[in-house]
Amino acid sequence: MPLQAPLLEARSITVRFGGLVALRDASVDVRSGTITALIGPNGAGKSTLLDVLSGFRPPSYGEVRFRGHDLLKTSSYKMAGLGVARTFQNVEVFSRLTAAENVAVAVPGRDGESVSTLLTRPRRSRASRMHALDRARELLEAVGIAKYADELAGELSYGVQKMLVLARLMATEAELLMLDEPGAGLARTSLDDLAGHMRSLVTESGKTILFVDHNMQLVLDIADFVYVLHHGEVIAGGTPDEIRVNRRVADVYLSGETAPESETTEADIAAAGESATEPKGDSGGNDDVLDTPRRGGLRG
Amino acid sequence: MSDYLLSLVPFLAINVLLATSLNLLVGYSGLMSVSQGASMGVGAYGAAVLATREHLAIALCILLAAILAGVVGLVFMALVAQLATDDFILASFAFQMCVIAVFQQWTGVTGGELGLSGIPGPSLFGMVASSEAALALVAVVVCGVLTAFIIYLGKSRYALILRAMRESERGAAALGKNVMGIKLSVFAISAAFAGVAGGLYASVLGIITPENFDVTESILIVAFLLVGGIGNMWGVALGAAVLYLLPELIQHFGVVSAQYIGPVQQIIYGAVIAVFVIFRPIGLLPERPLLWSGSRPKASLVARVAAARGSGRS
Amino acid sequence: MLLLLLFVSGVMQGAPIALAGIGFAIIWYTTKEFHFLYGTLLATSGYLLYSLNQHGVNIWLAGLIVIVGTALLAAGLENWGYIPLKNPLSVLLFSFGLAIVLQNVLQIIYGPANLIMPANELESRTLTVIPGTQATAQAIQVLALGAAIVVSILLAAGFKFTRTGLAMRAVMRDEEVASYVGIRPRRLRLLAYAIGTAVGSLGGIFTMINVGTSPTSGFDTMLYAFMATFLGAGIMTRVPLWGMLIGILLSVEAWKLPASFATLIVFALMLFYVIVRERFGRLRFRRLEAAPVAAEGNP
Repeated sequence: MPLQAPLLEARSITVRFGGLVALRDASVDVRSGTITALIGPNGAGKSTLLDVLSGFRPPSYGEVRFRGHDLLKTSSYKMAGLGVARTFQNVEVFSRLTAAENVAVAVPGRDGESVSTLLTRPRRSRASRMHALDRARELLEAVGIAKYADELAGELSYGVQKMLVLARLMATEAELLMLDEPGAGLARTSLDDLAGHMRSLVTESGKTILFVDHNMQLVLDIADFVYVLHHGEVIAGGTPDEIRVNRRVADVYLSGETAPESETTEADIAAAGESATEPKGDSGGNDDVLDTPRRGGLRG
Repeated sequence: MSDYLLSLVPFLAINVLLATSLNLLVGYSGLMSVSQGASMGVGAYGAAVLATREHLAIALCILLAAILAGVVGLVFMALVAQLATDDFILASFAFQMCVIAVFQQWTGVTGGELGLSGIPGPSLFGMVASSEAALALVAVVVCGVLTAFIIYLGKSRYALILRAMRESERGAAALGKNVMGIKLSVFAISAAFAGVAGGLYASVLGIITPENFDVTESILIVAFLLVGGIGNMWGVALGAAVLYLLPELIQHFGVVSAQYIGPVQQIIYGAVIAVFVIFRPIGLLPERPLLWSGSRPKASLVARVAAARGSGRS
Repeated sequence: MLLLLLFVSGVMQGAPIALAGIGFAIIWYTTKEFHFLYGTLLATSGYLLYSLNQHGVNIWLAGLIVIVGTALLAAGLENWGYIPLKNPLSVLLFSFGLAIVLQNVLQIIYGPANLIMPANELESRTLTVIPGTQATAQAIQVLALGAAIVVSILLAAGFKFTRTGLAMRAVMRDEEVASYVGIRPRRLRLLAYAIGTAVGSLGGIFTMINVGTSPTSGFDTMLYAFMATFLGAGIMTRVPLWGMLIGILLSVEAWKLPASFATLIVFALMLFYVIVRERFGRLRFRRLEAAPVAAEGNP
C-alpha cells in the first residue's frame, strides 16, 4: 500500500475527569480503506477514545485530524456531513420509529429537513423524502432485515437492531465508520454476518472502519490493524499477527479480564512465555495466548 | 341559534391552532412544555398594544406580535435547550409564570390586572368583520391556513427528524442532525403560531386580561393533546374540538340553571381530562408512522403502533 | 414602628403559607409528584369545617375530623389513583382534572364568593403580640403561627430521630436505593400524602377561620407553597422559613407592589437557578434525581 497521510490522525489524546485519567497521551492512525480495531480490557479507555475521535467527548488535551480537518473544532452533529459517522454501545435506535424510518433519517439530503426548504421547495422536499425511503429499503435489504422495515425499532430483537444501526450508519454515506462494540451480545452466526458486512463495506464500498470490541475472534479475523489500550494508554499497535506475539499485550491480558470468547488454557499461558521470545512472524498458532482453538472460524 | 354556533367557531379554530402548534413541540419533539399560554399571551398583548397605541392595521399587529412571540420563545429556548425533561418542564412553568407576572406588573403598557380593551376586530384593507359569520370566516381562514401548514410540516422529513430527536438525541446527532438548532426552530415556530392564535383571540374578543393566558390555559392546551392523541395532528385537533365544544354544547342544550353554567362547563373539562389520563392516555388517535415501506399492510401497522405506544405511555 | 407592625402582620400572614409549604414540600420531596389537587383540598378543608360547624359540631372536633378526613382521602388518592399512573406527568394532568372538578363542585355548593365563618371567639379576640406596642393580631393568627412553629419542630424532630423519619429522608434522597435497603417506598409515599395533606389542611382551617375561603383561594396558596418548596431546595427545615418570608414579602408588597411582583421575582429566580444548575452540574434541588450521571460503560 502506498504510504499516504492517514485518513484520521489522533495525537496525544488525554482525557481527565476530576482526578481520574481515562486516557493518557493516546495516539492512533487510521488509514484509508482499512479496518482498525481498538481493544483492551475493561476500563482501558477504548470507548472514551472512540467518543473523542467521533466528537462526543472533548479531550483535556490532544489533536484529532480527519483529512487535515481539525475534528476537535467540529460539533458532533457536523461529523456525519464531514464523513465520520458512528454507532453506540447501547444501540440508540429510535424506538418508536419504524426500521425504515430509522434508516431514512440518516440519508443525507438538504431539502425537506428544515422549515425554510419546506416552504420554498415543496416538490423537491417530497422527492427527497421518497428518495430517503427508497434508500432505506435498499439498505435494509443489504443487511438482510428488509422484512422488518415497518416494524417499530424498539420491538426488534437485539441482533436485528444491531443490523439496523449498521444500515443506518451506511445510510449516512460517511467515509469513516466508527462502530462501538458492534459484536457485543451477538451469537456466532450473527457475528459472521457482521464480519462479512464490515469486510464488504471496505472492499466493495471503499469505506474505512474503526471499531472497538471485546470479541477477539472478530478483531483478529477482520482487522487490518489493531491498537491495544490498557489503563488509558496505547500499549501496542500493529497487525493482528504482531499483536498476537506481543509480550506486553500478553501480560495485560493475563492480569486483566479476558475476552468472553477466548478460551485461554493453562498450556497456552505457559507457551506464551516461550513464544514471546521467538522471532516475529512465526505464526505457528497453537502457542499464542491470544489464539483460540478454531472451530470453523468466522469465515467458515 | 345559528349565531350562537357561529360564535363558537372562531374559538374552536383558535384552539385547534393552539393544539397543533403545541403538538409539534410536545408530540413530535418530545419537549413537554406548559408555556403555550404564555406564548399566546405575548401574541395577544403584542397585537393589542400595537393596535391600541400605534393604530396599525390589526392584521399587521397580529403578524408582528406573532414574530415577537417567536423571538421570545427562541430566546427562552436558547437558555434552556440542554435541560433534561423534568427540568425543562419546570423551566417552562417558570417562564409561563414570569410572562404572566410581567403582564400583571407592567401596568403602563399592559393595563395590569385589568387588562386591555378596545382592541379592534379583525379587518383587512378597511373591511371590518363585524358579524358572527364574518368573524367565523376570518378565524377559519387564518387558523385553517396555518393549521394546514403545521399538518404539512408534520408529514415532512423535518417531522421525522423531530421524532428521531425525541427518541435519542445522541443518535440523531451522530447521524448529522443539529439537535440544538432543531430544538430552537421548533420552539420558535410553536410559539409564533401560538402568538397568532393569541393575536386573533385578542382581536375577536376585543378585551384581554392576564388570566386568559395563565398556566391553567397552558395545561388545558396540553389536555387537548392528551385527549386527542399526542403526536397525531388530526388527533389533537379533535381533542381541541372535543374539550372546547362538549362543555359549551352541553351547557347550552342541557338543563342547567344559569348560575351553574360556568362551573358545569369546567367540571366537564376536568372530568374528561381525568378520565382520559386513567383510561386512554394515548388519546383518541394514536401517533402514526410517517413512512411506510409496504412490507406490511398499513392497517395492522397502525394498530400495532397504537398498542406499542399505549404500553409505553402511562 | 410601622416596620414592626408590618413585620408582625407579615409573619401572621406567613403562618398559613408556611404550613401549606410544609405540606406541599413533604409530598413533593418524597414523591416528585405535582399534586395539583393540593390547593383545592386546602380550600375544601375550610369549607368542610364551615359545614360541620354549621351543623353544630364543636369547632375543635370539626377541625380534627377535617384534618384526618382529608389526610385519608389524599392517601387513598395516591394509592389508588396516582401510583398506578406510574409517571409524574400523568399525575399532574390527572390531579389537574380532578382539581378543576372539585373546585367547581365547591363553587356550585358554596357559591363563588368568599365565604366567612360566623363570628367566633378565635377570630374576634385580639391579642397584643408584643407587649407595650401597637402590634396586635387576632387570636386565630397567633394560634396559626404557634401551630406552624410546633409542626415545624415536630417534623424536624421526627425526620431526625424516628426510624420512619429517616426512612422518609432516604426515599426523598433516592427512592430506588432506599428500596434496596428494605425500605418500602410505597408506604412512605402514602404517609407523605397523609401528613402533607394534614398539615396543609391545618393551614386551610386557620385561613378559613381568619379570612374565609373561596373556591379558588387554594390555588394561590398552592402556588406560594410551591415557591417555598422550591426555595427550600430539598431541605425540609427551610421550607417554613421561606413560607414565612413569602408571607412577609406579600404584606410589605401590599403597601408598595402587588403580589405579582413577588411571583415574578421568585419564578425568574427559579428559571435562573434551573439554568445555572444545569450548567454547573450541581444537584441541589431534588436530591432524589434518579438519572445517574452518564457513567462510562466500558471505558
